[in-house]
Amino acid sequence: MSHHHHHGDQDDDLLVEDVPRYFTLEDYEGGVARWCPGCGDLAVLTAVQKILRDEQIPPERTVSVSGIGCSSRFPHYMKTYGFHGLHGRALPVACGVKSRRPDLTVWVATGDGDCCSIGAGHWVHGIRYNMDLVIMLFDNNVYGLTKKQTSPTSPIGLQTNTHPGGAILPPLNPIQTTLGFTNASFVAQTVDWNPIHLQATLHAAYKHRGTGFVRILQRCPTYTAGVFEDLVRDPSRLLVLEHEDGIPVADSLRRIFPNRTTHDPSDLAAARALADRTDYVPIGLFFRDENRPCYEEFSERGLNFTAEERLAALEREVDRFLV
Amino acid sequence: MAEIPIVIVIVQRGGPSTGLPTKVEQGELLPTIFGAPGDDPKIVLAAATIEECYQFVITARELAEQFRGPVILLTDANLATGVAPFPRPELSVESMAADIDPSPWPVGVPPYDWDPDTGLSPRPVPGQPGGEYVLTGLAHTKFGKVAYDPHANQIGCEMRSRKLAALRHTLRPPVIRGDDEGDLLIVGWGSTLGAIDEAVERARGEGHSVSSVHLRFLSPLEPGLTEIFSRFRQVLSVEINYSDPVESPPLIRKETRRLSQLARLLRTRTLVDVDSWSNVHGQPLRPGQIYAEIVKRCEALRGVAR
Repeated sequence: MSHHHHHGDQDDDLLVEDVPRYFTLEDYEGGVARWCPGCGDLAVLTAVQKILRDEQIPPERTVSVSGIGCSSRFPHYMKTYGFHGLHGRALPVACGVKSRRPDLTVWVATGDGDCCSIGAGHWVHGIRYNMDLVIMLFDNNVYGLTKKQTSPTSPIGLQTNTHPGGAILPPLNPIQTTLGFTNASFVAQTVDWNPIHLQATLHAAYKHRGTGFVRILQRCPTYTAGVFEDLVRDPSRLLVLEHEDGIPVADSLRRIFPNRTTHDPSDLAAARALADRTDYVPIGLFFRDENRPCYEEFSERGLNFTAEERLAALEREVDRFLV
Repeated sequence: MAEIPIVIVIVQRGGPSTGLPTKVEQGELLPTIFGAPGDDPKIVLAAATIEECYQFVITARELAEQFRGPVILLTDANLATGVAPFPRPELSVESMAADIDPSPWPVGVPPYDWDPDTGLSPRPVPGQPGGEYVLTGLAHTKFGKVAYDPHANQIGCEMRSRKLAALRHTLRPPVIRGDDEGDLLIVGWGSTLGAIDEAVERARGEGHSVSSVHLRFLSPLEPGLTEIFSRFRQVLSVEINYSDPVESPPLIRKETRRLSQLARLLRTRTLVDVDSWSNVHGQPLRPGQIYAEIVKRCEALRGVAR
């Protein structure tokens, strides 16, 4: 039995090594997204495609990884490599890809169910591993794909199929939680309905060396149409975090958001205090530390070995068992 | 059904929880082969010796890449904690995974370009321009797209099943230890090889008509078993996992008796009434125990007219 197509047998005239390639948005668009009209996921998809275009990342060097849920359809709408995996397991897959293929750009799409519920254990350790990837937490406060069940971030009182009388527990705060994980290195919050801040935040996360964790307040017009309505209508409910080391705040944003505060993202205690605030919803960069250890520093070892060097290393291992 | 090459080593122990799991059992055979939501054909092989634990990892890696799917290597606590000398393995560059090929993916070839006979398909690897596709854990088309239509899942399952058929086609029947025909055939797998061999040798030395085969491939099963089994009056699996003892209380009858795991597997494949002898003592099977069972059965078979 033989593989009937071979990778290496393309015609010489297809070799394009020396021809400069320029990528347009279309090069990252993998088909029509089948999210509901008005879904916040669409804005995130566009933002990521624009970042890839702006950075001119070849599609074949980009991997989009997700778990299960509405937002985890993300890889299917990208014209890049992708892995639409198992519920809650986006981060183990993404870390696995990155551990042996540090040459690839990895984007993780996960939701408040996928990340904060079934995948919560991986969330803790994915943050601690601090591999050079972006985590986009699409937080719509509900399980949308399965048609409205209470999620860990559902607000008290939200009527769902699992809590028809209203959700009873205080919602988990993903920013506060992530800031508590050891070795967290980049924690930010943004909203799907402001494309400029959204793209600027994701871009900063992409540029960060280590895991860029971005919680995106994401509207679900079908099941949680009301939860972010106040924030959308009244921008003064948001508190924009500003700092020269933070997410750039364009002048156009300053005109929209009257409430802003200076926050130094190197100040973890201040970041935690901000995350605790209930009077405003802060958006921007809570915390960044470029000097935290990344697991690649370990997992990359040996990747540059030639076959002969690997063989020699194996022989040395075998030597240890000689009797 | 992402169909990614992966080698999984399952070191079987007793269970559940702690305590007994520090001891040996061969209790994961059927869960390994069948434990999955929906149909999930996969390659399962079992090492019988410590040397095979080494060699089979290389085999498993090659099979995983060739067949683009999971390969599970079963070992157990005996093999994992045992010590045995074996000749220094000859390592070669050929036995290692090839370097990643970053050349462009051929235009027009889908990411799952299933060969209709074997289900095999080359695999685009990130970094290959033009090969971009999405691995999904869901049912999918040959383009890697999530598929809900009835036809797509049927085709996907058929293609994955054909991979096992293709591998089975390349396997050889197991080697028979002892005569090619006789009264009793012992069938074993995994770490019990040494104990079974010793017991069979001893019984044969005393004139009993007993032979044995030891299986390495459990999924797909090695070929020729039906034909081999037909040449023996009784086929007996010997394993370290649970089966109802022959002498059980009255509610357990011959036709309702629960057999050991390999025996059940062999019955479905061969339609031969394979019997089983096993226990879950958490200890390696001793040659003397197996020998005693062989003698008892051979004597009973001699007493029965053919």
